[in-house]
Amino acid sequence: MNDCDIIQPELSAYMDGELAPHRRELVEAHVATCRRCQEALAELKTLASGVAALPKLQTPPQFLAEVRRKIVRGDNPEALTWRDHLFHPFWIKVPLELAALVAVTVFVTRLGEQESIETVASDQVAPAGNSGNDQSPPAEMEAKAEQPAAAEPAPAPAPPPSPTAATGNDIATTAPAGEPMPSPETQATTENETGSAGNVAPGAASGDFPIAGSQSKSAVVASGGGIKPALEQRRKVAAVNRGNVGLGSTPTPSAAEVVTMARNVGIEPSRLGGVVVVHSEDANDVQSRAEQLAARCNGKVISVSLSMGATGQIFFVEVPREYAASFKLDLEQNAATFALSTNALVAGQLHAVSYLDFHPPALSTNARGAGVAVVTTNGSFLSATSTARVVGVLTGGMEKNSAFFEGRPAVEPNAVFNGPAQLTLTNNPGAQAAATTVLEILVVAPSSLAPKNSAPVPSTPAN
Amino acid sequence: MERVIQPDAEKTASDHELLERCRAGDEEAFDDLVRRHQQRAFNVAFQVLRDREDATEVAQDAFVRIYRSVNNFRGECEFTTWLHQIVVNLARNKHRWWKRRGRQSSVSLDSPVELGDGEAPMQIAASGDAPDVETVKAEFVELLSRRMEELPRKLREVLVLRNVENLSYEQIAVVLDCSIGTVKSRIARAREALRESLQDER
Repeated sequence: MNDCDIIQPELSAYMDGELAPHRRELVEAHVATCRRCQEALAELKTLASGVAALPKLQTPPQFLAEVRRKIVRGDNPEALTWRDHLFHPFWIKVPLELAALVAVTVFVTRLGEQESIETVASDQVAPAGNSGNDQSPPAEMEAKAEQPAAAEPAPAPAPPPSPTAATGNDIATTAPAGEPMPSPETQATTENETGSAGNVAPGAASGDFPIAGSQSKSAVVASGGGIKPALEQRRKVAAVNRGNVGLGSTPTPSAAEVVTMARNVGIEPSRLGGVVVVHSEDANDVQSRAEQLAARCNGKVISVSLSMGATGQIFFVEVPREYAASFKLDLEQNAATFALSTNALVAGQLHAVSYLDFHPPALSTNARGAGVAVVTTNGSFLSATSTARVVGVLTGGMEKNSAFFEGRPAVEPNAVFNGPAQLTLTNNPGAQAAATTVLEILVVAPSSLAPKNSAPVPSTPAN
Repeated sequence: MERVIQPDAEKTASDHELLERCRAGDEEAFDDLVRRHQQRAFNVAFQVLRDREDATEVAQDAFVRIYRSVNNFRGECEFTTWLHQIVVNLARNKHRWWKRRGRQSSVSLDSPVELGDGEAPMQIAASGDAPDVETVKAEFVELLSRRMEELPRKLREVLVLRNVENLSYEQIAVVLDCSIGTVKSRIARAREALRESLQDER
């Protein structure tokens, strides 16, 4: 780079007298001896004088009068645009706005992450028209759920059992339209945590047992086995309830608060096996019912002293795992939905469907097993339009393909149940010794959408 | 009927004095300010916008804005600097407004100007040179005028403020709300762009 390359960019400011003294002297010294820069400077001066000589117009004679008219008319001179307000001066506002944008993005992203679990849960809660003989794989449940049972074809041949099904219990399920259905995620969790044969995982009875045509105030038990799944499920439960019962504004304890409460009453958080959401105005009443139910299955209620400012009403119930599902159903339902008539005929009312591989109903002669059977009050399959009500659950806990179930139904087709007391664990004595699980009972105010039915406490599984 | 301005009377009041009187509700003082600076405001707007109607509207709107915000002017800069700021901003808005609508403003030096009450020709600064020299200069200025239109608005603004309004770099920086360094580089770029454009013509 020679001197001219350095000097020429300065010529414009030099011509305008805007250079600092020392730089002006440098430029002057160079221009005095450089013909090329002298010509460049002369060109600049010609340009400057040419610009100064650009044609000028006279203002219109009515200029002032028009200004006055505009003032009187209240004209709003073209104000700064929103762009000016938003970006000007850009070197100050743009960085600030970018920083704000980043902050908002981070906030929204984090918020979205929190909501995503609930959203997923909500999305996966399918209105179910599936009856117990639905043999669709879990992924198809939602689509099939839209169909009324009456329109459903006869049960198709069962698909081959999934590899995972071999170790888990088959969980019966049936759900009316609008009721939550378990997501594949939930099923997987249930499967994993069901463990040994005969044990009905607590989660099996959660969203897994939507109540057909029930006026139940909704209840869901999440599968447990580790604090994280339980807490995540808790959030899903909240979503389910928000989505279906309109309890979005109901304050509930946070997961952290629940953990703290559990520890305060000597419960290891990892033992939290699920959440039962009960809609009731009276938490004491719910707790009272829970105590009765727990007493029938060798469980116990563990009260929690709510701290000041705590949101929601919760307490814990420790029950044997195999009773978790029944306990949940009993606690959630009011008596009206549990009006199982004495000697209700079970034939044709018993549905046992595996979550995992959707075996044919347990009542079919070639049923190979069913972990749970849902019993309804009439002979029809549960469907979106069914008036049938789930009145109980059989938690047989038979290992799939076991010799016991192979080739025979779980329940005799014409078996007569003498009341809900028989809805119990009947075929797996080994499960009696299964470990206990702790359910969190979350009592929330019923929404306006929930039925206002306060019926007696339902019967419970016989112990 | 517009008031006849007495030159001596204008000299007696500075811009700031007129502004003070405006704040006190003296409408005549505002009129004096308009008469004193309307040509300046109009010229800047016209050189930036290259459209007479738009320039008139912008210049008038600038004074309306001044009238409405005279109480907010704190006198931290010259009134002319404030006026230039408003005119340039309004001209920018108008320029953007037309740009969004795809209008290419253009004005010929030969075209008469409609004034409503007759035609007025463009006024080109005379230098007192011989007629042939004047002709050459006029051609150059006309060429320069067209090349100015082709300049980006930002470059045109600084050239107008510098060479038409004779503002210092510091004043231009205040008007354009940017740094002196930006003004310096922008002016240099504008002149270089004009020079190259004119060389292409030759």
